[in-house]
Amino acid sequence: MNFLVPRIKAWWLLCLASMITITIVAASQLFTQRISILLDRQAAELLAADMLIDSNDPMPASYRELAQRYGLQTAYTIGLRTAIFIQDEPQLIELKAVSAGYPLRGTLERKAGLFEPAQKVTQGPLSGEVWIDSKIAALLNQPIELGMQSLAANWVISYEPDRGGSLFNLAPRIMMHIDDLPATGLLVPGSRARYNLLLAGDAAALSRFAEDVKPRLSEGEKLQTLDNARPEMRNALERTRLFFALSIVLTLVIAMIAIAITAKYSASQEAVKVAVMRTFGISSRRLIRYYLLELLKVWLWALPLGLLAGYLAQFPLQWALGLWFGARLPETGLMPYLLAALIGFISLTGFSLPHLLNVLDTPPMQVLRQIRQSSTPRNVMLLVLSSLLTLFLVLLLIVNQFQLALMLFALVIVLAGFIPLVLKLILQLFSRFGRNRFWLNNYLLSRLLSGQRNALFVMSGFSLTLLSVLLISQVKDQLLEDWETQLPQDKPNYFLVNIPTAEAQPLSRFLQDNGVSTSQAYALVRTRLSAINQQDVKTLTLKTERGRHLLNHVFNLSFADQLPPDNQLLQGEWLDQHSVRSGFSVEQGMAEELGLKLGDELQFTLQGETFAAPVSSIRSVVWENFQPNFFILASRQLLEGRPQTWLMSAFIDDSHKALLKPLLQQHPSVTLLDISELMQRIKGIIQRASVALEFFFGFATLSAIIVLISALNTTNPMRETEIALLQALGANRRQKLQSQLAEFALMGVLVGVFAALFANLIGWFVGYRFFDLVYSFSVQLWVYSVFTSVVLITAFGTLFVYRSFSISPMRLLRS
Amino acid sequence: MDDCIVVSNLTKTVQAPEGRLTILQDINLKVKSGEALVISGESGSGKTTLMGLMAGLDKATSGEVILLGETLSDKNEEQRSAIRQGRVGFVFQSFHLVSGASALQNVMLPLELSGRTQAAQKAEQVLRSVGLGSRLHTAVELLSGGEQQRVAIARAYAVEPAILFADEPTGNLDTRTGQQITDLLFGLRDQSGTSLILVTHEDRLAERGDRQIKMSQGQILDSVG
Ligand SMILES: Nc1ncnc2c1ncn2[C@@H]1O[C@H](COP(=O)(O)OP(=O)(O)O)[C@@H](O)[C@H]1O
Ligand SMILES: [Mg+2]
Repeated sequence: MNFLVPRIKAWWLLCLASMITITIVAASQLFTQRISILLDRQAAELLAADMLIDSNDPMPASYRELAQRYGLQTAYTIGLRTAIFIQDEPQLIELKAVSAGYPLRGTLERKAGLFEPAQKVTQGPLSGEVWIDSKIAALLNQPIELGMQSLAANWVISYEPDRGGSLFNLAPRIMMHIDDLPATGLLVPGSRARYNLLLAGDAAALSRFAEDVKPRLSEGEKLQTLDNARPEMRNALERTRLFFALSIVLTLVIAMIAIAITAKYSASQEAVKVAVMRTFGISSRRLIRYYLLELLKVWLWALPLGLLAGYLAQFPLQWALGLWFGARLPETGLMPYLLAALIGFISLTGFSLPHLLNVLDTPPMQVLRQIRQSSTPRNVMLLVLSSLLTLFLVLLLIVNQFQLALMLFALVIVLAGFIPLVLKLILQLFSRFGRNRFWLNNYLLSRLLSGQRNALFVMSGFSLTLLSVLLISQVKDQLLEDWETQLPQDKPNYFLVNIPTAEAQPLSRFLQDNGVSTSQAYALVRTRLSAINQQDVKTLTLKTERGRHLLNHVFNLSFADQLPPDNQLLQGEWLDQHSVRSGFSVEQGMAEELGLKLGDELQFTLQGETFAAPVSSIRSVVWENFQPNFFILASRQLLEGRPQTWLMSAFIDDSHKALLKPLLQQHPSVTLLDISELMQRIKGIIQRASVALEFFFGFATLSAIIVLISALNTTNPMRETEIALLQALGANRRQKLQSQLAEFALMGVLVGVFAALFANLIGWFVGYRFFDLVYSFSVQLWVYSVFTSVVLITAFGTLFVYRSFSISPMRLLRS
Repeated sequence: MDDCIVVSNLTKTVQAPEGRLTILQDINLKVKSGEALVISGESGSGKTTLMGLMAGLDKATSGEVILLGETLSDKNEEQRSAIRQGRVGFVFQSFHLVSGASALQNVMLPLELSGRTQAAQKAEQVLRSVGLGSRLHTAVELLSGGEQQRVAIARAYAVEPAILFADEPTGNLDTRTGQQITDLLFGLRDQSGTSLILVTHEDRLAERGDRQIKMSQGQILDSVG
């Protein structure tokens, strides 16, 4: 067993630092992967599945059999439009017949009556049941004539996961069991129905299934995947993901700083060994091999411990998630572990080896005089290059995207140069003010300023950690409050859709007269994009799944005389009702996906008629504002007179809820959509991510402590001599302790001040620059920051040097 | 070819703040195989420098050293090191042991690194022969100064060198312990037939050698034996 113990000084510190790195990578990879899968699932709720096959005709049973062979869950839905009669008035409805198992993802919510509490269920209507939209809740517990059948409506549907996908084109929903559909006689050959085969299961099986089934699909059968979540959801998710990745990278960088500093210390301790071995004629090749082997041993120790810790770290995370989700986290593969092992090895060797190589260059003659390490310019270059390369490689492996890695790399480099510089400035400022206080200036500050003590390293490590923690908590609050602060108080919480043209004005007036604020009413014209620059869209090849999705679906076109609120004109000009020319204004993201430029001609088809116009402007849209937003807005003259319904958003608070009933009675075709649900979901996601992040900053703090211990190790002989000197001069234990405490406390104060100052500055800058917020100075932040860093540094510092207190002053006489 | 070291017209100068400084001037010297040579002289006379040059740890300014039949002036650091491997041992004034490691591990290290098999057995055997059979697994920093130097001697002898260099091996030890260490060094030399080059500022040690050289201000004052 002995041969397994690395023969490098302070290897356990190096091991600990590597272990933390491995743990961070493993835990974050496991976690982000699971979160990603989970988030995708949440997006999948919009499909009520992970994937589905969409067709206008019944699908062969072989698809389902194939899916089952891949171990996927399946369910069928059939959607069709039909009319029912409500008090002898025809009412268009969207009938949906679902099989057992629907929904595969997400839950349905139903109510026993319009004003009863909602209950979540994971299964749709059973045979014989009929669930109805809240809009037609008046029909509850009455028989409804569906074709040749009469079925009693027994539940109101209050939430249907996959209804978001076609938010703006809803007739009231009626849902029934698929087995009851044939008896209604509604489904005859040639009737326009949508057949969906819903699929859910693990990612690998799904993608294998997708590959297998794709060639078998006939025209008109389309495979839909997850990539088509609603834009406002997508944005929130993407932002959260990026924010998460950034924080993980910061944590990882701190862990790598710990490796680098520990490696430097370890290597310096090897100088004697190396110099003696050189006098014995051992070649540098053999020595390099020796050290590689020793580093491998360190890695082998760190690996199982790090992976285990990473694995275990999931459980508290999972627990935190369970609070919101109540769901088991999905499984991930071996990849996170492999990546963690690889990054652990790369960062260990990348940071240690150059230090060791530098030691190998110790002139053997030094062994006869005094062994001290000196770095040749070549070695310094090697060290810098290797550290930079290692850092970049690790970043690249983690973010898996060259450009982002490069950006993060630049950020870390700037920080790494900037933090010690600022700390040094603060120290110098202190020493200027402390000029008259002899002990402060001559004793403490000069100690910290002298490079020998590595104080700047320690302080930088802690500063970066603390600053990150402070920033994360600030940004988190910012993200959470984003909607509240950004939106006017009366942000919309309802969409009113399916408003007949004649009712748009009266409805809007009705609401406003009753003190409800609404958005402008927008016309909705359902069309299909049929050609771009006279080229049929079917022949277009698009890079992204999302782009293809946009092409294959019904477009809701609208027009507006003014640029809608929160929209910004990026290119071209806005065409209002007075413009002679007509054109389309395209949302920026969409223009990118479809590769559209100003002047490109778009052709739309509507009930066999086509109309075309050039792209006249490109806009940006704030999707999260919960206002009606459109990918494409047309000039008024292009849409006027075409079949259309209207849409508006409204803020209906509890005191106005009573208006809803008369409103729906007066406007029976109008559908009311509650969107506060969606906002709650987005908030939930951010909240979950930030709890997880706080967890990761625990690791960052551990790394900072390792940096502290490494630095204390390096300066230990110096410190011990000091303590011995104090003792020889007759100092008692308390005085000795004070001398050390003062140094640590001062370091703590400096770190705390630095972190708070920059957290405030950055917070202020970001708030001012991007959110138009007046940044409020936070005393709490300063107190927290200074307190935390003083306690941490003093506690661990004192703990570490305490054993030196028993050193005999005899030490001074020897050596 | 009986000489293990031949030094001819060896000069070493260094650049000091005060200008060029001549540390060694025109040294000529031969060491026969198996011979025990003691180099003495007051502190600063250039003994350590000379020893370093003879062992190829440093490069001469001019002149030549032939170590174990190979000229050193035309060789780089790595090549000079290769000449020493397995054939040269060192003992230092301040021991230079690897602290934290046991006596056995210290002795094993050069054996392992030069690729010898059965390093542990060999190391143990040599440690017994220097009288440390009972302290094999003790961490070296817990040993006394004399014991530490014994470990260092064992480390040097374990590789069965042709030449053993010792720079002030008793410099950090009290007189009595120093005496024991000197006895050990010369005793082992007698057993193994290794050439011993011992540097000391203590004149009374000089008599123990087959031959003595006295140095002063970078030059050989006189040579006895
Ligand atoms: N690299 C160097 N630079 C400047 N002076 C040196 C250097 N190496 C040795 N010296 C000087 O050369 C002289 C001889 O040193 P040294 O060989 O160590 O003497 P000894 O071992 O006899 O005490 C001393 O005065 C020492 O200061
Ligand atoms: Mg000397």
